[in-house]
Amino acid sequence: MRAAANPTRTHDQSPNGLVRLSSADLLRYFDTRARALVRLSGGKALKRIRSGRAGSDLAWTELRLLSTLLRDK
Amino acid sequence: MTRVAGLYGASPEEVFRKFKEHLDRLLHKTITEAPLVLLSVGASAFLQFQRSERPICVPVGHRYHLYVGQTLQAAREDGRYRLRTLAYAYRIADGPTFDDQCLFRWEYNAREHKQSLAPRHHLQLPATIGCFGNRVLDTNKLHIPTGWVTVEEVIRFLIHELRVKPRTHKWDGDLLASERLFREWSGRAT
Repeated sequence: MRAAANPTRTHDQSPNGLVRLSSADLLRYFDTRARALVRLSGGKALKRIRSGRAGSDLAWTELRLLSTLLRDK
Repeated sequence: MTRVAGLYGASPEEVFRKFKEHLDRLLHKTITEAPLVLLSVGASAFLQFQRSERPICVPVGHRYHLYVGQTLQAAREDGRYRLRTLAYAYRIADGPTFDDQCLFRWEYNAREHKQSLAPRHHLQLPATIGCFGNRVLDTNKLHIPTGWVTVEEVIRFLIHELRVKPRTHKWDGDLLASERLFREWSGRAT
């Protein structure tokens, strides 16, 4: 399942709760999630997480977990 | 050849799917029918409760809400793939949304992706401890060290300690069986 061309839509979810994303789309996906969840760009959110200045709520929890997939980016 | 304990599969996707299905079954049998959503990116994956593309704490019992999130990796070994957990976050909250108070949160980050001076396996909770006369320790800011916390132990805490009604009277047996499988997959003691 490929990501859609629409920049606000990075993936499709199958009915059984599985979402596939290509590595190339991961940064864009993180950026979309960061903008939707904490209203920051992906780059700014990543900087906050890596400097230990991120929040502790559910939105930041998801972004912090997702950021572990971006450790080489 | 000595086979390292683990959850193996022929592809990363197979490993992640097996793990998700196992956790879904366990959760459905014990405390919630909410399914986990798995985002798979090559040999890595992210698993959490979410609805309408937002992370959520799902209701368990009448009062409490639970969030489960994990980052996973499929490591290639002997031509197969073995599951590794890179990070986990479990939260028990008093409501489903971002604004509801989180009562307990357990987190873990693998050292290889997060260098931290704080304990990597830790618990945080919104409480204060008065001490030394006029000092106060804020346990929401402290990383209280824990061992590896399993989803099974969080479910056990909800049912036995917080009195969340289980979905079946066999909940203890279901948790014990799942813990046996966890020991087999991880090589860890529980």
